[in-house]
Amino acid sequence: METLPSSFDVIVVGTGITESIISAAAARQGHTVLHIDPRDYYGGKWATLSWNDWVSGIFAHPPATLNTREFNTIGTFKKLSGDVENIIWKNDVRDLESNWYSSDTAVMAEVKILTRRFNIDIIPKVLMAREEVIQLLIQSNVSRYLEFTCINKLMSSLPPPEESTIEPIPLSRSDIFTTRTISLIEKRKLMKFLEFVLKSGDDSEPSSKSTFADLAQMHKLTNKVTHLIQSAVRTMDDCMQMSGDADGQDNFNIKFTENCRLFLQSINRYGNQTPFLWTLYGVSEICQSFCRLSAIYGGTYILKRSIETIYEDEEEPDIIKIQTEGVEIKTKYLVLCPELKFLSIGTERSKSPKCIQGITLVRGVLLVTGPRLKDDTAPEAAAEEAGQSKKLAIYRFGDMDVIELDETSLAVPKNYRMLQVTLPYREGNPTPREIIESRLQSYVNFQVRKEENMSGAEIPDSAINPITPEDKPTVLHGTYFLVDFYDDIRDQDMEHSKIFQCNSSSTELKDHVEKAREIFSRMYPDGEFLPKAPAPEEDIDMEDRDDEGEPEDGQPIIPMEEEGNQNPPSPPLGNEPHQNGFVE
Amino acid sequence: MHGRQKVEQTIEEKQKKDKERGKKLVAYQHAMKLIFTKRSKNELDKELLQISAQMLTSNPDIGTLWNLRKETLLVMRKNLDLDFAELVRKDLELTEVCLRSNPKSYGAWHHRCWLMYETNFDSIVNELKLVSKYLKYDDRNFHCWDYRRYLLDNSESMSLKEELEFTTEKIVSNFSNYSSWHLRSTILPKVSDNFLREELELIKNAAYTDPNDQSVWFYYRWLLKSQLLKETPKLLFAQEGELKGSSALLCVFNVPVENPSGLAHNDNKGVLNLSAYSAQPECWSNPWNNSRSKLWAMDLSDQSALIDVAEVVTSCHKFPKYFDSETQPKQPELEALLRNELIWVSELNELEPDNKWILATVILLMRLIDFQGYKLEINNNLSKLLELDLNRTNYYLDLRSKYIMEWKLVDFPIGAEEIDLSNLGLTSAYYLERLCYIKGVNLSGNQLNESVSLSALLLCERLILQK
Repeated sequence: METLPSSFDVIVVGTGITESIISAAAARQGHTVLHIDPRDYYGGKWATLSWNDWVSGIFAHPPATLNTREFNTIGTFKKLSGDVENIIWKNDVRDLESNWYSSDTAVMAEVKILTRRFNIDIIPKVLMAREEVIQLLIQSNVSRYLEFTCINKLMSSLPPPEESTIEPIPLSRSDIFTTRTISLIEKRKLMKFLEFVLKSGDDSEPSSKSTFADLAQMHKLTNKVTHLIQSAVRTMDDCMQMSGDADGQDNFNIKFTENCRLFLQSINRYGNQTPFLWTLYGVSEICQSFCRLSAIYGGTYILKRSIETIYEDEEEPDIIKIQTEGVEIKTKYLVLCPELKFLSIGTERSKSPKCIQGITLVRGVLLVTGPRLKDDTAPEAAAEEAGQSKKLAIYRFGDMDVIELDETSLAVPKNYRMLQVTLPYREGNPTPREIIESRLQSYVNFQVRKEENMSGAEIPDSAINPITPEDKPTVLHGTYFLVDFYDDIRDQDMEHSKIFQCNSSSTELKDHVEKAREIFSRMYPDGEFLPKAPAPEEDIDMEDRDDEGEPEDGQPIIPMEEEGNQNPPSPPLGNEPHQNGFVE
Repeated sequence: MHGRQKVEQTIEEKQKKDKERGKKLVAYQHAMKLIFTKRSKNELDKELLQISAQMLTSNPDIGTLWNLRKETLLVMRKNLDLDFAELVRKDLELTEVCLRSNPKSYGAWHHRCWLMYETNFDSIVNELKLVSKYLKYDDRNFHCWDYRRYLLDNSESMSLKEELEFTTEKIVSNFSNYSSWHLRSTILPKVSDNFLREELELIKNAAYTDPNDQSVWFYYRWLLKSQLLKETPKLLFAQEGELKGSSALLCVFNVPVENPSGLAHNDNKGVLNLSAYSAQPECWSNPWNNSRSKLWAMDLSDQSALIDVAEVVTSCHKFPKYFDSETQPKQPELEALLRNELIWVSELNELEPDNKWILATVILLMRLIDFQGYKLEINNNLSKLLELDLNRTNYYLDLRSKYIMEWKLVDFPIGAEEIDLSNLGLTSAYYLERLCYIKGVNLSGNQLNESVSLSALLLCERLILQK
C-alpha cells in the first residue's frame, strides 16, 4: 500500500451525510483532507445497499474492520490533561430482524441474481424541491452527480373512523379542483387557507407566527381537512413531538407557516406534482456526491479504515494525532461520525453520556408484489395507460410514513415494489416487526406461508382474510430494525475545539446539513461554505482531470481495498435518461 | 408566458443589444433587397425559398416573406419534376423551427394553416401532437388553440370525443383557461345532448376551488344561456298614430329587425303577415334611419286603403310580460335546475361575500328564474357590486337602469297616456320603443347619459328632463 502523507488539515472518519459535506467544504477551500470510513461502503447509516448486502445485515453490526473489544471499544483518546477516554463504536442501527413471508424459492433466487438492481436505503429520504439542501446541491454544483425523479402522489389515511380509507391529499389548485375526497365547502376553506399561508410570509404579517391550531380554528377547517394538511406537512420529527403535546406548542405547530410555505412552493418546481423528489440510486448518492467533490479538490479516500488512537501532544498543542493501522498521522481537525463516541474510563457514572436527546425510528423495508397500496387512477385512464402508470407515492398513515417505490426509483427491479416504512419508536414498544406488521396489516397482505396454508382443510382465501387479498400488495420479504438519532450533549468543558462529532438528534436531512455547516464554520470561521461552483471552462478542466484517475464505477476513490468489496451501488451517471437535473 | 415578471435590462445590456440590432438590420436590408430583386425578375425558385427561410428563422414575423413562400410553392406545385409533398414537409419544418423561438408567431401559425389547407389536412395527427406539445409549454397560448380549432373545423378525421377529452385534460390541470373552456363550448353541443349536469358539476368544483377565476364564470354564463330559447324576430305591438302630419302604423319588434315587411306575428288567432300590407321598403322608417331597429313606423298615407289597421292593432295591442330570452318564462325542468344552481351559488356567496363574480352570477340566476320576484335581491346585489367594483361603476349603473325599466314597464297599463320615470337613478333609458305611443314622459331627476337617444318617443308631447 502506498504511504499516506503524515499530516492533513482535516481527518474525517465516516462518510455519512454530515461528514461528507464537511469533507467537501474543507477540500473545496483548499485544505488537505483524509476521509476514511471503517465500513466497506459509503454513507454510514445513510448508506444504500444491494439486496445481498441488505439481507446479510452488515449494517446492523459494527464494521467488521473494527477491532472491537469489550463494550465495542476500539481504542483510546489520550487527552492533554492526562485523562484517557475509550473510543467506542455504537451502532445506530439495531434490533434487526428479517423474514421471508413468501416461500417461493424462485423469487428468492431471482432477487439474489438481481441484487444490484436493489438500492435499499437504511434511511430513505425524499427532498422537498425548494428546501435548502437542494439550494446547496445546486450552488456547490454537486447536483451534477445526482439524478432525481418526482414523487407523483402524496396520500393519507383519513381520520377515524375512516382510517382504513386511503385518499390523495389535495394540495395544489388542480388537485383541489378534481378531488372527490373533500366537499365543496371544504375545497373553498382549504384553498383560502393555503392562499393565506402562502401570502402570510410575503409581508411578514404577524399572522405567520400563528400555530397551525390557531390557523385551523381561524379558518374553521373541518376535521378531515385539518387531518389532511397535518398529514402532508408534518415531518417524522414532528410526529415524535406531537404525540406528547396537545397544547399546540410543538415544533409542527410553531413552525407550521414556514414549513407549509416551503411545502407549497416546492410543488411543480421540477414538474413534480407533490413537493417531493426521490434520489435515484438512493440517498447514499448524496453522501457520495459530496465525497466526489471532496476528491476532485484533492481529498484522499480510504474505505475499510478506522482510527485506533487519538492523542494530544504537549509539544504541538495545535495538533491532534491519530493512529490508523499503526500509522501515525497529524491533523488540525478531526471530524467523527455519530457512531464514534467517547467514554471516560473509571467513572462508573458516566459510562453513558451525560444527557441524551433524540429519537429512534422504527424501520421496515418490505419487498412486495401485486397492486399498489392505493390505485387512484380512474379505471378508464388506467386501462389506457396500462403498463405505464409508474408512480412513486408517499403514504401518511398517522405518524407512519410509507414510501412506495417501483422500478422508476431505481431502488427495486421491475415487477417488484418496495415499501419503505418509517415511524417513531417509543420506549416499551414491541419489536419493530410486530409494530409494523400490526400497523400495516389492513393495507398489505402478509402472506401466509404455503405450508401453514395447507395445514387446514380447504379453507378458501376469503375465509382467512375477509378483505380479498388480491386488492392489497403481498409482502414477500420484510426487514425490520431500529435506527437511533441521538445527540449526547456533553458538558461544556468537554466540547473540544479540534474534535467534532457529527451527532444530531434530528432525522431531517436539513438538520444534518446545518450541522455540517456549523462544524465547518467552527473549523474555518472565515471560510466560505461550499461556494458557487467554478466557471464552466474551469469546471470541464476539473472534470477531465477527475475522470482520468477514476475507477470505472465512477467512485472518487483513491486506494480502494480490492477483493470482495461490494462497491456501493452507483452506476455511472448519465447513462440513464436524465430525469430531473437541477437547473436554475 | 403568463404570470412572469418582466426583467428590466441594464444600460449595458441595452447598448449591447442595440449594437447587435444594428448588425441584424444591415443583414436584413441586404437580404430583403435580394429577395425583392428576385421577385421582380419572377425568379420564384428554390434559392428564394432558401433565403426567405433563413430570414424567417431569425424573425418569423415578416408576413411578406411567408406570402412570397406561398406564391413560390404554388408556382412550384405546377412543376411536376418537383416533389410538392416534400416541399410542404420542409415548410412545416420551417414553421416549427420558427415556433420554437417564438411560439406566438402569427406568421408561422398562419403559414401552417395554409399548408394544411393546401394538403387537405393530411398530416393531422402530427399537427395535433405539435399543438399539444406547445400547449404543454404554455397552456394559454391562444395561437395553439386557434390552430386546433381551425383543424377541428376543417378536418374530418378528427374525433370530437377525443378533442373533448383533450379540453378536459387541460381544464383539470389548470382550469383558468378561456381557450379550453371555449373549445369545449363549441364541441359539447355536437357530441352530446346531455352534457349539462356534468358540466355544471365541473363548474361548481372550479368555482369553489377558485371563485376569483373569471374564465369559469364566463363559461358558466355561456352554459346557462345556451339553455335558453332562441329569440326569433316577431312583431310585439302595433298602434296607429299621427307622425309628421300623416298617419302611420307604429310597430315594435322583440329584437332589432332589418326588414319588417317580411315578419310574421304569431298569436292565438293565427298568422298575421305584415308583408301582405306593404311590400314596399320605402314606406318603412325608423327614428334613427338605422338598418336594424326594434321600432319601425309604416307610412299609412298612401296605402291606408290596403291595410286593415284595426286588425293588426287588435291582434298586437299589448307587450308580453318579459323582455328577452333571459326574462322569458322557462320550462319547469329548466326552472327547477336554475333554482338548484342558485342554491349553491348563494352558498358560495355567503362564504365569499365580497366576490364580484359570484354576485354577478347570483343576479343572473335570479333574473333567469324570476326577474320580478327577485327585484329586491337583485337591487341589493347590484348596490353591493357598485361598492365592490369601482372600475365598472357605469356598467352596473347601466344594468340597473335596464332592470328598473323592466320592472316599471312590465306592469305598465297599455292605455295610459303618461309615464312617470322620475328620480329612478337611471343613467340610460332602455326599452323606450315600448313607449313610442306615450304622450307624456317624465324622466326628471335621473342621471341620464348625454348619449341617450329619446327618438323612440315618437308621439311624445310632454317631456320632462330636468336633473
